[in-house]
Amino acid sequence: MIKYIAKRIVQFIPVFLGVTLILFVLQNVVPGDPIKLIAGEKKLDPQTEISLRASYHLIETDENGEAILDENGNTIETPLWKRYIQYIVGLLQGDLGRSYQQNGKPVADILAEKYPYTIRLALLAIIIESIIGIAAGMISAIKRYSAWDIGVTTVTSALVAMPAFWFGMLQQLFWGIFLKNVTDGAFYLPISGAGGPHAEFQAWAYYLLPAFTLAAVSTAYTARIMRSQLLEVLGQDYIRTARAKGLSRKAVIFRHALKNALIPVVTYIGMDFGGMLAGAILTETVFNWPGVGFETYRAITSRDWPVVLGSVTVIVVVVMIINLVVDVSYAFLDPRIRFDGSKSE
Amino acid sequence: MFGLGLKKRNTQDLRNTPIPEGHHLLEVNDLKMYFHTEDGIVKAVNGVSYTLDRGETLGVVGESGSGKSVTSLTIMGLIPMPPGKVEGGDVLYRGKSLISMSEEELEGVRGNDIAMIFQDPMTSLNPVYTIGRQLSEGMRLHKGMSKKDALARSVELLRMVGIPNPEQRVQEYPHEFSGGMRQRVMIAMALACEPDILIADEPTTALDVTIQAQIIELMEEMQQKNGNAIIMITHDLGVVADIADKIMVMYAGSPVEFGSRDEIFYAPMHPYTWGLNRSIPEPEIGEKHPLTPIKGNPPSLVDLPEGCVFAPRCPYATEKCFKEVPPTYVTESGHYAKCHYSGNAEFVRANAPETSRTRKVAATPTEDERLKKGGRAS
Repeated sequence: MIKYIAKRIVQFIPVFLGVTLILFVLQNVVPGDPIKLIAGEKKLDPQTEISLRASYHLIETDENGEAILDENGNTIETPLWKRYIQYIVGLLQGDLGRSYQQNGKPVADILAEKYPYTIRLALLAIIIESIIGIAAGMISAIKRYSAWDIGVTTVTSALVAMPAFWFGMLQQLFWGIFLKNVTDGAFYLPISGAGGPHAEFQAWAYYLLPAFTLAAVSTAYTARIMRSQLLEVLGQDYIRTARAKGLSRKAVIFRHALKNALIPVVTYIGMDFGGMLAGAILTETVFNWPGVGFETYRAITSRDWPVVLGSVTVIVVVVMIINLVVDVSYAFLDPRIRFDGSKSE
Repeated sequence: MFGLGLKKRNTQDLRNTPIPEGHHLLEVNDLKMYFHTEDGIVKAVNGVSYTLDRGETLGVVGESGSGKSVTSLTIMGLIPMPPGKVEGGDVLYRGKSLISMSEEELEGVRGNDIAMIFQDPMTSLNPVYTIGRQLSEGMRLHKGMSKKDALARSVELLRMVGIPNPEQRVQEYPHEFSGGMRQRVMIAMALACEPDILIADEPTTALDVTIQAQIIELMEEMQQKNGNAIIMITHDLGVVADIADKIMVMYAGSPVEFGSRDEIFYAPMHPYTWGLNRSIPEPEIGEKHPLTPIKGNPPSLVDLPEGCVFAPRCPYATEKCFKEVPPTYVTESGHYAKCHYSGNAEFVRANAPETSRTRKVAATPTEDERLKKGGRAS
């Protein structure tokens, strides 16, 4: 297994280089000069402009950080490949570059500030998704064609079809505005931001709506996968064997069917968690959530390339690690999985 | 993981209760199991009767869809209802009706007093649990054994069914076993609680021919040791030729002939049984012993033909056969057949095949040896 994990980590390298390279090239292909963007309406004096370009390693500099000039007295633009190498070298030292905005704040600092919000939101959403999704799927499968089952399948179809941002807005309307009006301001939930020192609500209250919104679609998928898997497993021969042994229906479901049915569900939830850690751009934007997703959205719209590059780089690493953890966790659920990449039967 | 405690049942082991006077170990009386589907009522089991005593082996023979498996699953209470429904008849185990038992009582019988082995050993074991855990389960449930004791007994059982190195194998998963080994595990599992009756539903169909004889032999050996009854379901008359005491031939949901092994092989009375007999491959197939298939297919169980169900495929069918349901012709010994002409000795003598038995069944040397050893040869 250690050999397998090592192999997978080595496989990270080309994926990682590929993704960063594409992004790096992309930021140079899109029109617009970052330094002019920083300056905005103002006209920069040439000296300031040169030192800015030098500080972002856009032009060649000497060891003191001074711009090197060619024979005509012009600055020399650093070629793309050289900048990419500089970026990777910096990355290995934990340097993700600096933002073009926010007074040139280091990207690493920005992400360190935003990531905890995203992680907490993702964890909460995954807990909601696992508990409600698995339970609903199980009830639906066990009581097939009952009112419960019809209810679960109807609600999950609706949720799956609903865009997350729209669902979020409906939540805001209901819990934040409608309820406030109806109860005359006695009870309602916060609909924006993550609170702060002088916030109106306790900090946890700010998590409620974003977490449920983020979890909604995934919970619906989890319930549907759980339902179909459990129904499939319950039709297997080994379930009949277990029944023939004298086990009750309940014992058969919990002792024999559940573990088999959970294997694909765990895969889905794991992958989904990876996706959530990448920042839920829609949910975070709707709720002004100070997480990585919202920050990435902001960076993209304002062409803050170092932040885009930095957050995507971190996201790639996080998603790859989560996928590895999910793959390794199969072994604990399914003894047939061997780590030479095959499934024996 | 996800362990739901296995509590010992508080229901009594029925196999310790004496069989009431005038009753057999197992009695199936005119059992009818119908499935209510969108296409209509499927009469999967349509009036099956037989009796079984301890130490006896009943062979149930028939084509696919003749209702032989459904009959056994009905006895075990393993038919999902709905769509299934018992439309009539009863099953008495030691004089107690299994059909009218509560689900909880039935759970105490299943795997305990009556155990079952299924056709496909490759899919009949749960892939995600060890063999030991799956073997232990029944004993913990029915006998209240501790995990440790049940596992120790599992090792014993594996050794008993001839699995080498059982101490290590008990910790392994089903995918680490071959098909024949898995069927041995299934037998060990079925015998774990020393059942009164062992139902084997085509236990050798999915196995290599070389393994088939071993599995049959193993079941016979276990029977001699434990004295349990066996119901052996098969579509292959050859499989039951050596081990069955009684044979029931089923066609389209009902028995067409029932008798002792010798009666079915030496003196069959029903044309369908003749057909099955002629379909057993012989070592010396040729002009003398042609292999004759039964033409056509079994009828739809939703829309059974009027009169005799076998008439459309019967080479001897007369007008009467298509109109009237045949009576059950019973001999003194209890050998019976459902055919209008079974009572006509001349007809039977003229048309019954020169039975396989008189020509010696397609026997492998090991089977011959076993017959001598077991002292069961006719």
